[in-house]
Amino acid sequence: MLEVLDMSMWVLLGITFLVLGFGVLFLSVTESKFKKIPVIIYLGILLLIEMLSVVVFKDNLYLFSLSFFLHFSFLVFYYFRVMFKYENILFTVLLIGVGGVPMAVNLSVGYSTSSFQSYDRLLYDFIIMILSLSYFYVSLGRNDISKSSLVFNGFVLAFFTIDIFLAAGTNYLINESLLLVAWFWFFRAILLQLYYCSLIYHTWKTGKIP
Amino acid sequence: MENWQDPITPFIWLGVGVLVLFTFVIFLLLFVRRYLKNMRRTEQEKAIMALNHQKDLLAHSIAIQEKERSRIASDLHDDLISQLHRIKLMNENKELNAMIGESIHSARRISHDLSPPLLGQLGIHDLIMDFTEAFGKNFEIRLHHLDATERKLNKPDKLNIFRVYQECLTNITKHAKASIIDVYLRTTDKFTILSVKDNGVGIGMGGRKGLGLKNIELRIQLLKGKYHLKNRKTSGSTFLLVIKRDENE
Repeated sequence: MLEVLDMSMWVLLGITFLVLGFGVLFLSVTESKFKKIPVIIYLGILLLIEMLSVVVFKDNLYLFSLSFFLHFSFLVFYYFRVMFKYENILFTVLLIGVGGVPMAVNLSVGYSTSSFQSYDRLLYDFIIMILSLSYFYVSLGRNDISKSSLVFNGFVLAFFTIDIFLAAGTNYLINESLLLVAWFWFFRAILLQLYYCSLIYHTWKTGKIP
Repeated sequence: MENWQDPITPFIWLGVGVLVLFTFVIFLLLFVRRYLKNMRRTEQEKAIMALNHQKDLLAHSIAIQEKERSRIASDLHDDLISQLHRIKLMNENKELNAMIGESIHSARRISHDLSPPLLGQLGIHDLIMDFTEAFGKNFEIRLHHLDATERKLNKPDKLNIFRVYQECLTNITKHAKASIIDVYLRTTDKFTILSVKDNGVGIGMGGRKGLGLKNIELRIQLLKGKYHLKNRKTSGSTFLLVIKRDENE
């Protein structure tokens, strides 16, 4: 059973590579690719982080903090500039800058596998969840919202809300038997792929990143 | 020992769960509030649209009514009166000629009532005085504040006020059995006020609005005015119309 789970993990990792690689390539060759550069960079860095996690197979938990700071930075930028069409770039940059503090604190305290907590990730998830809910709230009063925006926002909300609970139980999920916790990781990985796909689809559909 | 085995950890998990749920509840409430607000706004917009549509219909029906009146008045004047004149010239019987003369006079009066010939040139005060003259035989009509320093009204407003006045006098003639009619008309920069009071037995509608009153209401709606009708058997009826004038008029 453990072998099957182990193999499934590798399969999911392979799917992640494929989705991210496809996203980077596809968005690079489609029209108005310059407008899609932030998404391409975001997906490219995530692909690199995934690769790094394979290369540095042991003791790579700090990648959680890194990747979630990336999610946070990108989504703050994406929501403010693209979804809300908020013009003040200074505020966005400031928010991203302040957002780096939880990651810095989490990484600076030092950790071992048995003591690792992912509270910075929890905070990022929570902020992203608020952004996503706010978008639904804003879109309720408008009739110019595209379907792809709602789908994308739905997946953001689904993934990052569920990840709040998983982030709170990270210590449990990395220390308990794989037989018990693998299902959570699988579930999370599938949701993550759906989120990536929805982002690629939404970017392809709109192509309006300033 | 792993951190998750620490007794404090379940409290953290519980706290996170409660926080997330609480956030969702807050947003749910905000969603419902916004949804209801949007719904109310949509309903309001629909109501305004329906009202505007009704106003357009109203204006259109009044315009058609006026057009038709004007056509009938023109037919009366150009056809009937001309023919009567011709008959009068051909006829040598003096008695018959006198009757034809009266008929011509009646036809002309009806034609003028239907469409006042100098609507564009005359002010509302003059129009009212002109129209009132014909009623002088049956009533004592006292005109108040009908001075010549009136503010100019535009043609549609003038016509609508004139029609309202016409309808009032017609109602009094038909139902009130009055002997004295007091007419008060004043146009200022801000308001136009018309009051018609009689000493009769009221214009007895018995709580039901007749075609005349409905017509008055339609025209007052177009004028964006307010009216009040006091209808008493003992002290007669009083009709009061107040129209607030547009500042850019």
